[in-house]
Amino acid sequence: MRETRITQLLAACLVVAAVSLTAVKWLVAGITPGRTIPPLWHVEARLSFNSATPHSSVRLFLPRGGDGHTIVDESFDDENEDVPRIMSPGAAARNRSVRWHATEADKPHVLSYSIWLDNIMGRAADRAAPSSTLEKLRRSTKMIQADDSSIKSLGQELMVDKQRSERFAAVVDYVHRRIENTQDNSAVSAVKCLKAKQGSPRSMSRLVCALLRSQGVPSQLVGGVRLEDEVRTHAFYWVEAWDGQRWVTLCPTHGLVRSRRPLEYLAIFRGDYSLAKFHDCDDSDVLVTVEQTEPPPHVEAQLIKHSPSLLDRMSLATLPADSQQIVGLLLMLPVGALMVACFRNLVGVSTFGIFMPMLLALAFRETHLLWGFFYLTILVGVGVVVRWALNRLKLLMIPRLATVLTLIVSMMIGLIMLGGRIGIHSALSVGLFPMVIMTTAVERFFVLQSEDSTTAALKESLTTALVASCGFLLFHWDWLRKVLFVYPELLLVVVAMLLLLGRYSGYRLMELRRFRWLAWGTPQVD
Amino acid sequence: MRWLWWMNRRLHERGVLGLNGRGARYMLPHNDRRYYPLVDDKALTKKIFLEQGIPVPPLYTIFHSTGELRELDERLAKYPSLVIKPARGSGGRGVLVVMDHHPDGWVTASGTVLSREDVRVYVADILSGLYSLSGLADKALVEYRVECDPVFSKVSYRGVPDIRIIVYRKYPVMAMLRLPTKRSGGRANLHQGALGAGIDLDRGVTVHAVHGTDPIKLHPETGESVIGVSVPNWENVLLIATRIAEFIPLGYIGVDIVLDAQHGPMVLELNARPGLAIQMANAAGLQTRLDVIDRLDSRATDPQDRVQQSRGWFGRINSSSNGQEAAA
Repeated sequence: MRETRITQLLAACLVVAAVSLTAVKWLVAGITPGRTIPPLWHVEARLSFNSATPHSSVRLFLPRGGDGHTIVDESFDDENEDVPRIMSPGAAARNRSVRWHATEADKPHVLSYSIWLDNIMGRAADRAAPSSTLEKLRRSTKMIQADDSSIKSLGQELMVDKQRSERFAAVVDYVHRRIENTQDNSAVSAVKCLKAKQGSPRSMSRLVCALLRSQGVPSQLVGGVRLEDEVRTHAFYWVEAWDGQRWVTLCPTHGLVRSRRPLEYLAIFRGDYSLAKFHDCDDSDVLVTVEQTEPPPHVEAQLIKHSPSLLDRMSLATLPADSQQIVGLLLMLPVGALMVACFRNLVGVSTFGIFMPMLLALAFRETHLLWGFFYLTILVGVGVVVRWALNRLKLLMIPRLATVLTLIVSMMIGLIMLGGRIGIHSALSVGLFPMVIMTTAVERFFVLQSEDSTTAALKESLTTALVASCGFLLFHWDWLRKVLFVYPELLLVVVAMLLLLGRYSGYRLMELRRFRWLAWGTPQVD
Repeated sequence: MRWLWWMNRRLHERGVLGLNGRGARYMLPHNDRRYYPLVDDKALTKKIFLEQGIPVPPLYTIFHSTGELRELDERLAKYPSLVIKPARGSGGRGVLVVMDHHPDGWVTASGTVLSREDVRVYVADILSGLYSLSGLADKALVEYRVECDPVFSKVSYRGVPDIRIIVYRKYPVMAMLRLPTKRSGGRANLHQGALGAGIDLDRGVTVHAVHGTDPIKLHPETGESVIGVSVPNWENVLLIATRIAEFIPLGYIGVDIVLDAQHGPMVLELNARPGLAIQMANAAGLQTRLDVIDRLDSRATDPQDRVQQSRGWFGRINSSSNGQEAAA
């Protein structure tokens, strides 16, 4: 038949389209259900303080995205605190920062800021420094005493007659070897550090800066964190020096000179500052936590949304977490419909309403199968008894249906109350039962029972329950749900199967039984 | 598993038609959806039949809305017996047979007494669509109660037997006599427990019968043989069924005809989705017969000729070949 041919052709096209799309995603783009996002670096800063005056404020430096690292997600946790947040002006400023202003005196506050970093490194922004800035970065300051005689003579000694790269290495090497790391938050001047032969990373960086500046090399302190699992109370410091073409990273603490900033150095701000600064605050405290861990779903979605692969950006994984749940379930519905179609057209069973078993299966997802049947039996059972009683009142159909509906709703509320009392959690989900459909099920049961027989009504209830159980198992098939979520184009295969089923003109399984003796020619009758 | 395979093949060979085959090969291609109202709305069907001169049970009155129920008593008063049925009912659902008046109301076919209030609610149920195919609002038809032809009184329990004839592309292809039993509650529907007796299309005599899916010979209540029952006026019955196809543009229909004691054959209703149990009643497959019609080179224009052709092809004399010879 022509229709059958066309349908088969269409189905074949759909299958080919779905399979090739899936294959491209799987084999070319590497998108598979088993794919997991590798752990990401998470940096969190927690500020706690007590506002001394109504004008107290806190300033925190924030990393700038695109400066070597890519920030996938940035969030503030300050909603419950009564402190308005003001972000510092944009890209033109040297550093990015946030300032919180207290509105009340004598009030404790805890604010936090957190970022997730992509594992894929972005290009470091090598901004050519304007000559005026470079001029400033050669000057001697109170803490970086480039014009101090001891510094000057040491700088001369270390750097004279050397190539530029060797000069950087000599300075860093000297400070790394000769100055003992006190590993604390102290911040002494370059001269003091040199004299005491000890200092914190910040002091050592000041010394490096002073030595470089004494020889006319523009240099600055960089504050940030090192990406390794740790908890700190202050920033980590290193130095950037301008070699004429680019900023070179110099770390006296680890004795390291790199023309490209190493991945584990996350720069947050530039200049000789503290990470956070408190104005008129008591008991101020900063806690920076750095850890490599699995990102939460919303960060994962952000990551995929900004993935370089177009297929990734178009995938359902970019949806918010709660939408993902719903979409995952929605994708299963056509599969459930296919199952119902198979039961009806291949097996040949009849159920209360065509898609009622599917709705029941959805409700069973919450209550679980046995409890679901238990509640269903109670609800429909009482419904049928009441329907039988109402029959004596000779009510019109729609008011009568509405009465049964009201009864079912009240019984559900009763079950929910009872479940809450006794502590049966599943009873709370009874509310998801498709009530309106249950009302028609009660009616259908009653009509079938009175017009055909109780056996017929019970048989149809049983097949409805059977198909609903199969639906329940289907909706619990997590593997299939994951596969469909990653390859939603497989729905085309479902459509193809439905099309083929729509043109199936062979016998149903139950018909083989029904017509069984017709297979033997004319039967003998006694 | 092998049994299923073997069964599937045998049923194919015997030309048995399944529900999927009925839908895909006969109903969908030959029954255009837009003509369904012609057969689904019994009031409309009756109107067309009257225009075309097809005998039907006379219509007494139609209730369109619940407001008319106040007039129920006076509108029904003048008829000693009657039948109330939904215009869009199916499978014999919602048919109420009133045999006689009673001081408290009416007596039904099963002998129970219904008060006037009971009947009013019953009609209201019909109007609100309780028995209708789609569940939408419906009309209630009140019509003449057919009196069972004495020929069938021995082989039916209460109720009135009817004759179901499948008409495919204007040719009658298969027929059965449907006999009410105690289990069917006086209704003539096989799935409700009525007996089905296959009719030899040539002679108009029952040749085989089933109750449910089991072959039988005797009526379970009356004990009379249901085989060998001769349908009076058989040629006329076939002709009425065939003539209907002239003006109803549906290619595959079931025609339900009753034989009234006084008025003879009358068409009760048409069915655009006739059931497949007729194959068991006849112990023969429909597919083979439908194939015969599909393979015809030329079609007779006169209904009379088509009846004669069908009688020749599908009569019991040729039952061994089930019409295949004619097609060859």
